[in-house]
Amino acid sequence: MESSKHVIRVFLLLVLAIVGYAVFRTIFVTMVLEPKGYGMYGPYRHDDVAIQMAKEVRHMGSEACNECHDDIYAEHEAGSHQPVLCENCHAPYVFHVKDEDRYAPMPIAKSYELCLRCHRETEARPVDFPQQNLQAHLKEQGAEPGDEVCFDCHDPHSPALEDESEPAPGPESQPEQ
Amino acid sequence: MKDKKQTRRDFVKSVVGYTSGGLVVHLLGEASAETAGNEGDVRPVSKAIREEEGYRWDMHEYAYLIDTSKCIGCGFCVLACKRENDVPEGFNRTWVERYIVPEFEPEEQRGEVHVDSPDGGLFGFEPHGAAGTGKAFFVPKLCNHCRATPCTQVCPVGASYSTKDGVVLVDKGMCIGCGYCVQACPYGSRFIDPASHTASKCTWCYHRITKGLKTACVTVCPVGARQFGDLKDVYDPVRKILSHERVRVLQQELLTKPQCYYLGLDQEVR
Repeated sequence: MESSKHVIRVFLLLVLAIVGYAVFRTIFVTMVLEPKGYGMYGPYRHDDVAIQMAKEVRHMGSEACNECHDDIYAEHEAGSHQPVLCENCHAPYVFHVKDEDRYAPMPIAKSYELCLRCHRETEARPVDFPQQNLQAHLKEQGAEPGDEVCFDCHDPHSPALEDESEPAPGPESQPEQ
Repeated sequence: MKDKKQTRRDFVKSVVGYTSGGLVVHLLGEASAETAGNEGDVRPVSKAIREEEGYRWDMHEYAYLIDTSKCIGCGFCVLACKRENDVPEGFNRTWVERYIVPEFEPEEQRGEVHVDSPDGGLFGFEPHGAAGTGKAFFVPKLCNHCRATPCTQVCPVGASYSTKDGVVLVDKGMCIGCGYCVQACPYGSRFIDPASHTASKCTWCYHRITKGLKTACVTVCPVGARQFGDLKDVYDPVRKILSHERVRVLQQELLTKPQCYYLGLDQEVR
């Protein structure tokens, strides 16, 4: 019948529109606009995953310090501060070593503030965790307050006094920064 | 009656026909080429790097476990994250909150929970010194890397995405800094980096975990309050704990399916 011609024309126009859009999408958007690697595994740029994987690893763990500081490492591993990383009180490995060579001096914080960071008596700490009220503790021990007062009795690498046969004289001297 | 000479109509028909046919063939070819590459490999598109063996992201499924009864609030995790990832000052990718809950009786003080997080716990915590404290504890928090995360859904440019091993990352090259994802995150894990004006958040140290290391925060925790695991590893301790101990997640009513599980979480924790 006559009217079918018009229907077919409209239908063809629709098909043309769809095809035209598909061509535009494939050629222009996919090949020109979309960044490389987009859409491979989802609506994101897959190349970024490799970029994220390639960032610098900075903390190496205590074992890395063992290479040069084996004496301190042995002391540290045998003492009560074994779970505390060297890098916690000092600095991340890459701040000190670059390309297997000593690059910059490792910062050494000796102030009691660093010790109190964990051991200051606070409500929310688990009760079985060793914590002290500094004023009370110093009074009890008859110690003079001072910036490096904790080192008078405690060796930071192995601080528990029961472990040692004699009171700790202080940490091994390292060059000050 | 058929015309031997080609009319304009015939010409247009033939052009449309050949184009659409060619297009279909091309699209089919493109689709098969994409899936023909190894499904599991995380390899950049560059062909040169395709040659070497890559890390297989389909063989890992990461999860994080926090034991709030062990956390001492030292803040070494916050510090380590800052150092490892160059987190800008004033922002934290992970942080520790302290909850001080008054005793249950008298009834008037029951609802007054004190919550604080000074600098996210970066420098530790000072004693609060409130009287009548019933219970107090620390709650470390970070990006939960949710499996049904709202933050990737709302990103208008596809800068925020989930990898196949369950890590949610932000593509700095695509991010436009609109901040929609920062709004969308119900846990407050995201922020806009003031230097690059792009969204930033905990990445579960993707550069470390893909090399078999643990995240920086887990590595430095002196009491083992934070643990990181791979659910696809049969011998993984985190997987064992998730199977056998009582765990829960933050704001589970939001159905984001977070992958950070907590042991000993109290009802007061938001």
